[in-house]
Amino acid sequence: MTKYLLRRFLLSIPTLVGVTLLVFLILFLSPGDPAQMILGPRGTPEQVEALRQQLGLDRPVFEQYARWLGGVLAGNLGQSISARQPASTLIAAQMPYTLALALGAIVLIVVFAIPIGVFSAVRRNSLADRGLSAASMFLYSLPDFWLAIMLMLVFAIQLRWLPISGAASWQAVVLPALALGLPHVGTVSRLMRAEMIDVLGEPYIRTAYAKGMTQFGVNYVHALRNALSPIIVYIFLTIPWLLGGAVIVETIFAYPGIGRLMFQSILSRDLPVVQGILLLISTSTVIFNLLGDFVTAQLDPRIRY
Amino acid sequence: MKVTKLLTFVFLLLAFTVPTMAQEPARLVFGTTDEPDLLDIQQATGTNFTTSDFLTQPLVFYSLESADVLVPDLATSYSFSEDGLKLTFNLPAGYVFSNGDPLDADAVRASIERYRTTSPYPEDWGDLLEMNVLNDSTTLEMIYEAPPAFMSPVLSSGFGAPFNTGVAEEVGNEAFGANPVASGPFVLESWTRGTEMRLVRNENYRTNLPFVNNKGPVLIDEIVTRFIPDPFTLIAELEAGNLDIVYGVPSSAVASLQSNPEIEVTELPTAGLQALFFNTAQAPFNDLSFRQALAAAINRDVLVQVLEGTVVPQYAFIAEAMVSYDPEVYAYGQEQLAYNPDAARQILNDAGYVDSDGDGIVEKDGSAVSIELLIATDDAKQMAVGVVLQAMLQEVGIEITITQFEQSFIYDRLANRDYGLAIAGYVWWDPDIMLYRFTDAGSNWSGYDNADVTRLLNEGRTVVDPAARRAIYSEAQRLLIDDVAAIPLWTESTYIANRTWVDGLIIHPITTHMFVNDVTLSR
Amino acid sequence: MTAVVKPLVRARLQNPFSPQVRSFRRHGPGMIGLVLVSLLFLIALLAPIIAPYLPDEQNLLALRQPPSIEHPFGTDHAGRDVFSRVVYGTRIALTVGITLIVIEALIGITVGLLSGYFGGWVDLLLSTLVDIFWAFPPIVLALGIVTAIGPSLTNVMIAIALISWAPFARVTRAKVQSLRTRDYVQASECCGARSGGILLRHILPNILPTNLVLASLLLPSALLAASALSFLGFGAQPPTPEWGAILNEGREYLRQAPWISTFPGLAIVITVMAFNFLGDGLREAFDPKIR
Repeated sequence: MTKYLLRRFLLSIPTLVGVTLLVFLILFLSPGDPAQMILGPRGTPEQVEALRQQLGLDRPVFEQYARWLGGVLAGNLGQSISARQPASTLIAAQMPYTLALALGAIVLIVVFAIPIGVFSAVRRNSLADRGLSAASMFLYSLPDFWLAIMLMLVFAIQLRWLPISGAASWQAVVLPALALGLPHVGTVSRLMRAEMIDVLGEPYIRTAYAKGMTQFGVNYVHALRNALSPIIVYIFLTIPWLLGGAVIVETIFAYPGIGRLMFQSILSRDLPVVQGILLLISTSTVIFNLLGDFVTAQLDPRIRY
Repeated sequence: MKVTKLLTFVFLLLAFTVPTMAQEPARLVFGTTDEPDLLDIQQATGTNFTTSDFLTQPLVFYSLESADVLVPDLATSYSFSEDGLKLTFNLPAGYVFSNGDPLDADAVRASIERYRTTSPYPEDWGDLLEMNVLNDSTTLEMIYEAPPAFMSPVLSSGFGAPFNTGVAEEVGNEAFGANPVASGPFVLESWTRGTEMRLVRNENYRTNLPFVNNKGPVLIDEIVTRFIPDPFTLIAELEAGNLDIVYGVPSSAVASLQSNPEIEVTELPTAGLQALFFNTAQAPFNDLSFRQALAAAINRDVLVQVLEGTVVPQYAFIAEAMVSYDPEVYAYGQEQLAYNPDAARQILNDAGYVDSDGDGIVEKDGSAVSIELLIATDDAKQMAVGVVLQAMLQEVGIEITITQFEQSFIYDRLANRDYGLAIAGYVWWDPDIMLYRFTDAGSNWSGYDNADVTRLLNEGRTVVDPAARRAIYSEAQRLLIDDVAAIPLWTESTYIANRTWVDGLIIHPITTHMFVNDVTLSR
Repeated sequence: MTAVVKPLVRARLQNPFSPQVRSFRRHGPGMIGLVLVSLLFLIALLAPIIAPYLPDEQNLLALRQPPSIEHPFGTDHAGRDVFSRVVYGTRIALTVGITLIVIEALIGITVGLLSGYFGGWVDLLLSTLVDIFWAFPPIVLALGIVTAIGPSLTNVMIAIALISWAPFARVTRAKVQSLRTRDYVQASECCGARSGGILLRHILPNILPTNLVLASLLLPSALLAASALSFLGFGAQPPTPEWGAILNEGREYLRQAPWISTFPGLAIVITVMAFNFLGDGLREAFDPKIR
């Protein structure tokens, strides 16, 4: 098993290099002169030229990439153009909020999606299953920008149960987490249901019944444990997606976080910050992928290496 | 007996003080859509100063009545010499920055010197020859080569406010940018990027502003500035009573807020305008008749209607709230740039733009005229009028496509003259801004080049007498209108809404600066 | 005897997938999805007949009017009929969704076929490529790409297609790997058949049903991603009646004219749900293993 994980780890290195190259190239190819943007509409051509040289923007592509990657490895994502702060400082300051939001969404997924999925699988094709399936599909058909506005209208403005916006209290995270998490509750509960149905059809489950285990025991101890591992991997993979998916939700709820920072940075064309966030999300996907493999290897008795 | 009386007095005193001590601090919650990137104006390139204005204190300020008259703020008094070459500011003895460091003439001089090296706009201080510190450092004399007649917006805003350069050097520009030390009514306590800034009262603050009653530290304890990018959310928070003041109410919310008895809305015309800019160095805009046709195709009344009456039509290059505004030039522009679709079609036809294939769209020499209009996604007004402008031009046979970009990127394209059409403008109280728009002294967006205009604009910035100055700028404006250097569209209003429980708020009618010196909350 | 066998034989000849078709028919949501999707295609086809106005026809005397008989969904800030815009928007949504998924499938299946069939370093190289693209949430990377190549609906489609083909590649690769061990493929290889011929003749037909199901499952998210980018102003440009773009234009007026964004929002929900139902039905019928 160690050998398998080591192989996976080594294979993820070229992936990471590719990811950094892609992130760099996308923003390298962006139109617009960063030097001009730093100086703003009143900058003179001479000032712009001087700044281009200072920032190394007049160098060949690969030199710029090498320079940037060297910086990244040393923990330096470059200087934010508009805030005059290291991009890493800005991103780090927003991380706790986004993590709290992502955690809220994951709690929501775990608390609702898994029981719904298991219940639907056990009562397969019952009226309740059909109803829940339709509801799940409805949930993941909702565009998050739409859901966010509706949640705010109902729960914050009409009913006044929760704060409209901001991040002043723990309650403020509830609505953004719902807007972010509900569509995933739909996806994960469908997935859970399918996994569970699969596992319930396996020979060892039938054996367990034959051995006289109660239905409850079979369903919730044996089957769930085995059906859970791909779900956990999926949830691991969802984490970076939640970080990225927060762009719209964070903006609507005036909730701080890296999604909103990314959107603002795109608007002000603060490329070092955009680059930093893209890099953070993509590398964390690669890492969570690896973690997911590790968890599967630990959890699933069927996998042998 | 006396002892009992004394005890009763002490008891009563305690009884009154204890509950007040236990009370929440008097906190003003202020909401706005835009978050500043940094608070040190001496490094900033942005245009968003609503929050930093609470931290800074200029030497002088525009009077409430006129932009031609300055009143003291930090300074106790000031004088400008007859020839306009010497500016003298007298400072209060023993005044200090918010952190207690002395704020004397030496400190002001150091601050101006820092501005001229760190700011992207060092020319804001003009041809400054020397600065002399006199009278035990309570007087600053600024000697100029030419009279800096253009400088009033710099002097009466955060741009001209002294910053503590000692601290800036100590902590470095990076840290100072996020937490500068100045002498305004508030001090930054914390800034959670993406959410809010917490400002607390500066106990060292004193002012000489004639229009505020309270010349000492402000009465409220703190200001929380919340940054809420989505306009819908912003207004919902104000209506729910979670915000006390909203600066920059989106035009779509103005009507509903005005009908709310618990909310007061102040409308102030902006000192600037939005215009249709084009690259006059490039076909078809290098052709004066094409530009004239474009101008005649635009119906500003419809634009005003689409923007729900929150803007006024603009036909000149100096808006009413700006120095040197001239109603006669406005009337002249109204005549020259009037909406007249028939005339537009005629001009196009005479200039060789004809519809040769019968699709209702004109061609020049058989080839289609393709024009791209840049619209800023982060500007609700541009978003609203984009398609309406498109339809107006279509009406006279000019076809345009719309592409949405971020405002800052559009500025970048404008500066490089890498565009066809764009809605852009300026906000500045002094007409000197035109020098940076229509000559190569700045980002000459339209690539406009008229020796007479350049001469007039250079002359205007050094003329002290208001009437003589206005005459120069009026002449320049007429030339710009004749040449259709750009097509002025509208002047926006700034809307500030506050809950009626905010008492004593003074909103400066010229700069929209909010003075909270006398504010108390009766929530 | 013959009387019993005959219909069975005929059924088999008529349709090789008849058990799947029957299973699909039994699947309630799948049928609902099919009906809704057909209806959407009908609306798209008949848009000029259904819509009372042209989508970008402005009536400056009727700005932001609430729903009425003349304007069932009201009018927007430029006096355009929201109903007509939403109806014409169906064309854009379907075109975008289907084009996207076809491009994604073409790239993904090609990469998966090559990777699974040839194995070795080809597989390693292509798998790394798949992993790289897998590492980006589509909207986030698409935002980056559109920042680079400029905003337009075409560019948004290019951006999404370029990054969302990875699932097709993964599924195809796995399927090809298992098919390669099958007897008939190995037999052809032994007989000296050319790789191209084997891929096209033996392997491709076998992976198509799986990919069809995958396509129907991925189409809704492609559609959502495209309209989210238009909502953010990076996709369809005015006056295109793309639903996400209409929603964005109406967001400013959510307070006084909520109908401008309500109806295109509903249109997105219904369309995405219709395709999800259809995809779910297809999955149950053809390939229950796919997630």
